This record gives sequence, structure tokens and C-alpha cells, in this order.
Amino acid sequence: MIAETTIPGPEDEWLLRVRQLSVGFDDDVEQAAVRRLDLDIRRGEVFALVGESGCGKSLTALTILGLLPPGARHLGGTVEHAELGSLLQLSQRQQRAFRGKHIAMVFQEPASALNPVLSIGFQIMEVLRLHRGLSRSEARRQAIDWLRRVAMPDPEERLRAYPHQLSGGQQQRAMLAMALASGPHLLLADEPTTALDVTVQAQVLDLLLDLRQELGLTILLITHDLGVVAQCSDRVGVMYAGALVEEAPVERLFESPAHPYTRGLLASLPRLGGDGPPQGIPGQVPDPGERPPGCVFAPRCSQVMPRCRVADPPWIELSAADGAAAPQDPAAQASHWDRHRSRCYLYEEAAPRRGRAAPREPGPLKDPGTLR
Amino acid sequence: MTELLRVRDLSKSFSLAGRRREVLQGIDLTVRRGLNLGLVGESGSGKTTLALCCLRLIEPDAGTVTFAGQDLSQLSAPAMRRLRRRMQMVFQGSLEALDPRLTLGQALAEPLRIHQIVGDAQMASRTADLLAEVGLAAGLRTRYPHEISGGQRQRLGIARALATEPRLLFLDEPVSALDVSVRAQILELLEGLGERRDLTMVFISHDLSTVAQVADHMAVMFEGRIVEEGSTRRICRGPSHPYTADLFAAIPKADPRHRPRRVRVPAAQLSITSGEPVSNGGGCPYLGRCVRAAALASHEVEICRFERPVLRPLNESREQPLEGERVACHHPMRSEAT
Repeated sequence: MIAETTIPGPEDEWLLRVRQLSVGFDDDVEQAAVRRLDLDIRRGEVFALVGESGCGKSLTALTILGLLPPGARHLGGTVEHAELGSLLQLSQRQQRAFRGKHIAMVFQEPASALNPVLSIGFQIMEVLRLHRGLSRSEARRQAIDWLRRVAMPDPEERLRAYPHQLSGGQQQRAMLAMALASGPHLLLADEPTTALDVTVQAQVLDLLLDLRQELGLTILLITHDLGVVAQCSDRVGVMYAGALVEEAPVERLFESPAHPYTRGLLASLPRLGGDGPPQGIPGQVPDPGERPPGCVFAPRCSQVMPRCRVADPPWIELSAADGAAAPQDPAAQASHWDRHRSRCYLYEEAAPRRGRAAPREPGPLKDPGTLR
Repeated sequence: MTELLRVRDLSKSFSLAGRRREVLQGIDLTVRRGLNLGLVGESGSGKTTLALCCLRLIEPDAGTVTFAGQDLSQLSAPAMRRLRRRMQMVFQGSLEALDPRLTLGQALAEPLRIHQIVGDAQMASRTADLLAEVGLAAGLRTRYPHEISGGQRQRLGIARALATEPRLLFLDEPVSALDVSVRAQILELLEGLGERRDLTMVFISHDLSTVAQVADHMAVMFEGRIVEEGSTRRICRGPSHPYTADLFAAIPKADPRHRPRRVRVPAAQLSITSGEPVSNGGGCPYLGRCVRAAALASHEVEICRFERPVLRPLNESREQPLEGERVACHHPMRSEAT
């Protein structure tokens, strides 16, 4: 275990700790797809990673699993797991042992993540036999049980079904059964409901939350849908162009979103009942390699200031509870998980300084026009 | 307002794995000029098939489609092709809908050439105009579809459809695959187009919240039938069909303080969700999932079990039932607007 100067909360609370993680396709860290990412995931929580496509959300999850896509390289930083140690330093063989067994992943497109020429029963049983060493008949029994737990209709019948014979919602359930069958404690869910109808999405999300309770899962939920985030998560990290730009407990984020990007995402949501059209964010996420200097969001930001184009803003703590107290203070440690911080110069004046009392509100720049 | 498109008693069935499946059953629908229609329902409910039948890209089994006063089934193939200039479709999946070997400029020139809209001399200026109209930089003309973002591809698909100056535009899930931020941009673009051009749009989507942004009217489809239709305003305020209400309830609210526990659908009924039709004799096809029926006394539900509800004007008993507001339910929910 590496000695850390910023220990997040009591030692037994964190499950995954990502520090300064950079992953890219060449050596330039500034332009890397994932850029100096810090992330703490608490045991038992649903942590949502939000952002538009191309922000590096999926690559982050794949890196945690040690599944870098071809051409991608680990440029620096660590991924610490409370029990498994430093994940990126494990050998291929050790990675294979934890992958699936302790940390599992469900993917956005179940149709392309499932093997089309094998029955879903075979695919679930394979997990049970490989990771749990079960006999064929016992694996079969448990596979049926898992299909039942993910609310698959006619589980015994569906065991013989091939992926194409299932609807999108059923494929997603099958993949969830496969991911959970080995008994992981951490689930990385990459846009698990994006390909589904809204009604089926609601069912799959409910199911995910039920299983979390039942199995004591910790979930890293990757999504671009803030509605899903609001309904399912405990804490949220907003990711833009490879780095986190805001982090907060979910109520806090929706109540007082700080970063202009977060506020733009919220203003993009459709409103039922006619409060005017959604706003959208002009422009698009810059590709790695085309990022501007300074704050990467500056070209799309409506509140951009000259300094934003010069230097990347540092983290600025927005919540009142922490920052003021010394790190050894137990109260401050508990509040680690409640902290609200953002990388934006707009909040610099409102930020608490060490050893000084902090203001309660994020600052005078909260724009009620963009809040809903 | 004048009728642009009128669909009467349209039916279509496909044979799938030896089983006959009724994909569209007796669809009646009218699109008026200048009033955008939203076609809403889960996958498998027949929305896309209905659009394809309207364009006669699929031949319906029965029923008529009338566009600007012309019965399409009477038209010869060349006449139909000419008419399609005025009736275009933006297909779902912007990447699959574009030829990967054509640059954006070539893809845009294709409809202009096929329909002989402009000669080669004006081709460059016309494609440039179209790119500008949908908010794409002229420099993108030499790019290939895989080199641009999903939002840009969707814009190109719209530009291609606009090239022939259609009066009616079908858009199949135009924003479902896009990020929320980009989604809002595309919806904004479409709204602007509707105002600038004499263009009426039919939006096909499973997501009520996006359809509600752009549609004046909505038709909600379930298993090949329209189960509710009416103004977007009325339906958003108070849906009459329990299915429409369920679609609303399923939209995740962007408010963490408001996390409703949804009514659980028993696992045995989940196959219905997948678009697999469940045979229910002559009864209401939605009965298996109907939350409202579960709350009613058994003698009241009797009719739902044995008689298939037909689309009837809302408040039929009143002297002046609301025009265009219809629902197919024996026990419609009370609506605020009525």
C-alpha cells in the first residue's frame, strides 16, 4: 500500500482510489484521453461518472479492469483497491483472477458484449465454473437462479436461448446475471440502460438498485443521462475531456451545480410542461490532441474569463464542512464523502482557505436561471 | 388546417420464424400541414413500420395512405419515386444510414442528382447552402461519415432529407443515440427548420420527453395500434391511457429528492415489455401491465378481459367531445384538461 498524504476518510470506507491516472494513445499527458484523474469510491455507494461521449468515462472503467484497448497506454497514476492492492501493478495472470470475480463490468451494448454463438446459459455457467469452480450441474442450477434474480421470465427456458432471441432488456438482464454470478463486490456499469426503451430502462435501474442492496454491491455507474444519475446515484463526478471538473453528493449537485459544464448538462435536459426548450451546450468535446491550453471547457463556456485560457483551474472546495478542519479531525474525514468541489475559477473567491471559516454557499455566481 | 397525410385502416403483418405477427392493426392517423406529430411507443410497437408504409418503402397489407390528396397505392413506381421528393425520412442510426464510402459532399449531392434538382454547375453552391442550413462547417464536405461526431452525422442525415425540399419529414429516433447536450442542439435545429420551411415533421421515438419538445400532436402506439392521441399539451398534462401514464412515469426525473418506487411489473409479464405480443384473446392488449386495472374491482376489469377497446373520442358522452383527442381504454384515466 502506498503512503498517501490525502487519505480519504476512515480507512475502511473506501474501496477504490484512483490517483493521477493518465491513459492515452501517445506520450502527451496533457492530451491524454484520461488525464490525471482522481477518484475515490466508497464502499457500498453508487458513484456516477457523467459526461458527454468522448470524455474518457469508458476508458477509465476499462483501465480499472486492466482492459486497455489496443494502442492505449497507461501514462501514469495508480488505481488502488482496498483489498486487492495496486491494480495496475498486478501481473496479467493476477488481473485475470480479479477481473470478473471481484470486479465485474456490464457494457452499453449487450448485443455486442454477449457471444452470439453461445447460449446465454453457457455464458453464465462459464463464469460460475471458471471463477467459482462449480460442477456443471451446480453451475446450471445457479445460472437459473441468477436469471431468476435478474427477473428474467422463464429462466429455465431462457438458459438455452441465444442472445439474438432475446429483447434488448432481456439481453441486458442476461449480461447483468453473467457479471454478478461470480460474486463481485464492485460493478462497473457502462451506460447500462442507454440502449433500452424508457420503460425497460426503469425496470433495469430498479433491478440494479435492488441487487445492490441484496448483494452489498458498490457500483461505478457511467452515463450521460442526468435523469439516471438523479434516480440512482449517491455521489457524482462530472467528467470533461479526460478529467473530472466537479464532484459532489447527488442532491448537492442538482441543487447547486457549480461548473458551467455541469450547468450546461442540466440545462440540456428536456422539460415536460413547457418551461421553454432545453438549452444545449454549443460546440463539442475536443478530441484528444486538439485540446486548448488552460481550462479545456473554455471554448464552450458562456462565462469564460481571460485567465481560463491561460492556466488549468485547480480544484476549489465548495462545501463548508471540509477544508477548514485539519485532515486528522474525524469530522473532517467523515465529510470527505460529502465534499463538493469544482475546477473552475468562478468559485475561487468563494473557496475556503485552510484554517479559515468557509462560506456555506458555493458563491455569488450561482445562476438561478440555469437551475431547475 | 389542410390535411397533408391521411392513413386509413392500415394493416401490416410479417411472418417471423413461421409465426405471423401483426405489426400494424387498423391504424387511422391524420397529419395536418404545419402541425408536427410525435409517434411514441416502445420498440416493437410498429412506429417505424408505420412510417415505412406511409412512404411505401414497405407495402401495407390493407388500408390506404393519402398524401396531399393522392392515394399512394394508385401510383406507379416512377410516380411514387417523384412523390417521395416531397416526403422524406431521416433513418435511425446515423452511421448505418450513410454510405461509408461517400464523403459528406457526395452524400449530399446524391439526392440532388437523383431527383435532378440542380445541375452539376450549381451542385457545389447548393450543397454548401444545405450544410450551412443544418449548421455544418463547409470544410466538412470532404470528410467521411466515420470521421465526424454522431451529432454532426445526424445533421447530415437531416440535410440529405432536406435536399429534395420535402413537405413532410419522418424522423426515426433522431436524437436517441446522442448526448443530452447535442440532443438539445438537434431539437433546436429541427424547430428552426419547421419555422423557416413549409415543413411538417413526424417524430418517431420511445422517449416522450424529447417528442414533447417538438410535436404539436402525439399518437401513442402499443403493439401495432394507436392507444391514445391528442395534443401534446393535453397528453403531457393528463394522459388518458394507462400506458401513456406509464411512459411518463418511466422517464427518470432529474431530481434526486424525488425517487419514486415504481410499481413493479411481475417477472412473468416482462416478456410483454420486450415487444413480444402476448395473446390475450379479444381483450385489452395492455391488461397484463395495466396498473390501473390492478386497482379496479374485478367486475370492472371484466370488460378489459374480453373486449378489445377501440379508439374513441375522449369524453364521448359530452355534447362536444374534444376533437382529435382519442383513447382506446375501457377505463381511461381522468384528465385535467377535460
